[in-house]
Amino acid sequence: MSDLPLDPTAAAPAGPRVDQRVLNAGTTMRFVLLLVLMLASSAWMLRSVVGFGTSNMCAYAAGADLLDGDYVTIVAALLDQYDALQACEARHGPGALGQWLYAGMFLLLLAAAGTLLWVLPLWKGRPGRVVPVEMVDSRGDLRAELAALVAAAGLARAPRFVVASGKAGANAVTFGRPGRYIISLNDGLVVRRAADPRGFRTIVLHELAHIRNGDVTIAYATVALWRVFVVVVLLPYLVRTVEILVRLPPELRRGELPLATRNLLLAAFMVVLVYLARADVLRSREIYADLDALAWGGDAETWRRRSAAEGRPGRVQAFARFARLWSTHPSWNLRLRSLTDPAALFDLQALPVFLAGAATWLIMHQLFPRGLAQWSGKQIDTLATPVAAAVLTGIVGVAVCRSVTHAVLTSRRVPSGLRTGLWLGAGLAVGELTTNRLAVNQWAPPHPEALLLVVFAAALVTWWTAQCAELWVRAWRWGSIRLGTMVVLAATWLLFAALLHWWNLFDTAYAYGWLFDTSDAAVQLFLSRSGMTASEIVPAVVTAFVVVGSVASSPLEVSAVSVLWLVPLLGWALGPARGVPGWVSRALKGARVPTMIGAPHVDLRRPLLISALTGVCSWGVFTAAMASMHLWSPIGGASQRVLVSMVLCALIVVVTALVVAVVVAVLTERYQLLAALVSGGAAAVIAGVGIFFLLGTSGCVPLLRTSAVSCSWPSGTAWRGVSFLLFYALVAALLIVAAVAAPVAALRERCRREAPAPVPTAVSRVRGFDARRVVAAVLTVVSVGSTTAFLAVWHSGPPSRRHLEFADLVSVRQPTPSPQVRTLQAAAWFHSGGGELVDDILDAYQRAGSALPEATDPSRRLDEARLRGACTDIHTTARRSDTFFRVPDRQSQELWSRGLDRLEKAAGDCLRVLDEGDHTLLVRTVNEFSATINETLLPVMRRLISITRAGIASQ
Amino acid sequence: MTNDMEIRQVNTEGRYQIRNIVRYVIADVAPEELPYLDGLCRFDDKTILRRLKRGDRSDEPLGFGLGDLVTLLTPILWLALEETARRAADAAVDGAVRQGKAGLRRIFKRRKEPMTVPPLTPEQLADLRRRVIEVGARHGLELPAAERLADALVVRLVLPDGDRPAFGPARGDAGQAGDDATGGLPEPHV
Repeated sequence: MSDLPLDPTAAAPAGPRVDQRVLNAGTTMRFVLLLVLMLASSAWMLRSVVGFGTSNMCAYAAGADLLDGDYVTIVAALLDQYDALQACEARHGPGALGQWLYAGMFLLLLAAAGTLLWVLPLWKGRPGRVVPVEMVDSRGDLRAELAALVAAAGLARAPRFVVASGKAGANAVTFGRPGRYIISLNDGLVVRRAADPRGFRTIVLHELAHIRNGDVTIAYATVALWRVFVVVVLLPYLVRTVEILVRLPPELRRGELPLATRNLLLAAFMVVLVYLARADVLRSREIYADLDALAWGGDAETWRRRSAAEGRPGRVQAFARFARLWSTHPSWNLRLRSLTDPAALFDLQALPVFLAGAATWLIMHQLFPRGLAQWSGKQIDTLATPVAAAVLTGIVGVAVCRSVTHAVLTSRRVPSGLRTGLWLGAGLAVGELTTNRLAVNQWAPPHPEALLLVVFAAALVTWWTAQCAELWVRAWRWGSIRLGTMVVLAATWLLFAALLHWWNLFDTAYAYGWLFDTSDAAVQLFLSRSGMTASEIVPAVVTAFVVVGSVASSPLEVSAVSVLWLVPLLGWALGPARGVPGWVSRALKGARVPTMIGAPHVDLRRPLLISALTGVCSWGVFTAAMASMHLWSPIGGASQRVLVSMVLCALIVVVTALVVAVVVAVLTERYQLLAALVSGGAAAVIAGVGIFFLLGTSGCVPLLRTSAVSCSWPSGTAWRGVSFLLFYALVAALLIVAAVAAPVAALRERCRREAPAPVPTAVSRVRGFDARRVVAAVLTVVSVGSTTAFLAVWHSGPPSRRHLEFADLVSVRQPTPSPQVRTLQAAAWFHSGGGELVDDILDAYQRAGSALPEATDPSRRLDEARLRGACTDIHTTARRSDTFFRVPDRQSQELWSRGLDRLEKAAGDCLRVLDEGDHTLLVRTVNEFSATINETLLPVMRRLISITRAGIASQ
Repeated sequence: MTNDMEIRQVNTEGRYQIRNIVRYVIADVAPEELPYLDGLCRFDDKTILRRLKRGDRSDEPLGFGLGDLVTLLTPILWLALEETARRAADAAVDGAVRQGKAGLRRIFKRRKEPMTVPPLTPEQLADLRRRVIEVGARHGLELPAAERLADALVVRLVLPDGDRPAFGPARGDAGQAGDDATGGLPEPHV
């Protein structure tokens, strides 16, 4: 919004005008995301409305400390009583009525939205508001002109034209439903037609473009769904949340207050998100409609006049910009500028990307809540990850590719994608913080800084996408560019899927301090089989290990890591396009071809040479190290030698890749990230494969024989372990390369921004051509082959520790919780079923007492059936208590457990005596009930009450 | 319904409905606005006033967008006349309150009726003229054009009966006044 071009022809763009439809816009995907978000939020919020309850009562009853506990102890507590926990969740879940109510409300939502979509056009076009165009067109010329305009727009079916009575603005609006569109012309527009016929045509053409572009249905679908969502879901949800807040018992206040507050925050965030996202996507659609209207014979003067009246943004720029965010139309200045240079349609903007990130995460969380699995880190295969990744790719990946293509075609600076990724990551993080998933009963998760991981990971993905897209766009010469960007987008999808999968599995673990946990228990998760103890591990290594280990825990992530360097390698192998590709001519419509097309883009020969040399050197280092171990044997036992050689292999692979990547990132002038990744990946593969064969054949060379005993290809568990570790090292190497080389490359990227990039010197194409493809093909085949082979072995072998073994943690000692947490646990235990058990026992005891004959009342005789029923009930309840949670207080639990044993025995005695018919012993068994209750159960209750009081007092 | 309202007579001598005055002047100075005025006259005075005051500010999705520069004369005339009529009515209300219940009844009754302008004194006419220029300036009408419009309005209001066209509520076709663009101010309501 800097200079105001009064004449579109004067505002000549820096580069040629690019066809705005050279690539998909991704705006439909943004609409779809909005619709899915509203449906997902409905599914989520309605659960709360019908009382599914999202509180963590069962977790507290199991003795978990969600307020102050760290990750390992929480998981240990939950796993300790996992069966009781699952039973509790099932019991306190929705009943059949709740399920029906839930389903009913959801159907109501859909039906109401559908009805509203149908009714809205009728309401907007009701007779009191508009009149048919025939009423103001006595001569018929208006209708003739409108028909001509419909023909110009190429619409198969003409919309209905009406006139909005008494509206003075020279404006028109389109609404309707599929197959029945209505364009409402303001009275003012019809009046102005005589004085400004071209303006009239332009405005009508703009509206026809909306119909042609399919904007009407989807825009009004979001409107209809949103309005119904507000009434059917959002308002009841708010009422329910406030009700929970108001009726909160004091002992639960500390834990539930953050939960309920965040629920309110989520509602507010939803409103902001939906409005901003809808306005944002509508703004891009306006520019598309403008461009179409112009192409069909619209008059640029119409925009120019409005733009001139809008004036220049003055002091209120900040406020105006903020207000503009909520507007469904872009500023007139921008619209005028976009007529000649639709750069706005290609720009990478922060807001849509941020909103897409937040919405995606909300959908992931709301549509597929992970429940207890969130804590246990267990893999759940749902459609959530691939679908969410597809949405992110459709919005963010497409936006990056569009922006890069436009920059290449107009010879502008190619966007780095780094900032976009940071915004995307911020969106994901904010989405995460708006839900109760991480912070649970606290105001913030214990380690919010862990969220930076997802921010940086997202930045890496978009940055990588931008650089790859540039490489592929400049190389692409076969058919449509959509096909070329498809390759990059498919890779981006894989990266996003891996990112979301990884984060979905491990966000809770990271946010609860697992990264920073160097305690025995945490380290044990990874190293339980290595024989090492925590004291032998450098704490910093644990953090790296946790991240790498969690990423390398599934085939999805492993494939994504390979893609990181193979896709750019293939892009390089294609070489720059020679001549002018057909898609470039079509997109530029005959304008001058930019210099970037056809010019050499990236030279990976030197980086790959460095990789090859360093990789071969690493073989030498490994051989020397093996030989030295063989000769001097500084390490005693054979198993220890195997261990050391394993660590050595991994270390050499990682260090080789890292050194190569950093050197290349420093030496390369452009595409530092890609060059570092490709060279690092190539170096890791060269080193890894070499070491693999050296190890396999080491038995044949006496000098190198450390663990192998004969000259045959090794097999067995040890070899499997070595191969696995080597593969693991390859993945780790790439991740570490990305983590270390990215900042170096980012710094160099920044320097480049200040100094213009040197024009790359032409390389000899003919000689480099074949060699380049051969090298790329060999590296790709080796890498893909080894990855596939390892994945196949990994899955075919006996069940190994594919995932983290949390069961090891059960023995973790639970620290004494704070008084508030003890209150929560006591209350949760009581409310989740403990109180019911006590009630059942007391009730059965009273029945037993009343069934006995009374000495003072001779008329009362023994009611045998009643007594038998009471004793059976006590017996059943006491046995049922065994499968219930232990009392979350050690002292009470001892009493409770002892009491239940005594009751079970006494009830058994009672039944036996009844069977035997010796009624004299009956009174004694009933007295035993009474004694047990007085000595154990009631003290337990008293103690729980005192714990609760202490907790309330300390608040 | 709207036609009924337009021709409803007011039992006050010498009063003209605002919509009729506006139609008369617009037919003279800006006949192209008559369809717009027709559309407007489908609503009652209160709705029309609200629409005119609010302008077209709705940022409706899929519209062409706001920010048009159309300066219509109809809203200028209407708003200026309405202001004048309201002031005159306020004065009447002051009197009515003094006159007691009968006056109050009249006021309540009148609220639902089309707004009318009583015969204006020279001072009131001067005031009306100034107001048209003011409102015109607010609507982006340049001073000479605003003055011409104000003059046209005032002239039409003060012209002797003999110069008035044969057009008025008695004929019951005030709603179609636009058909004879040369028509004059209707007869005052009797």
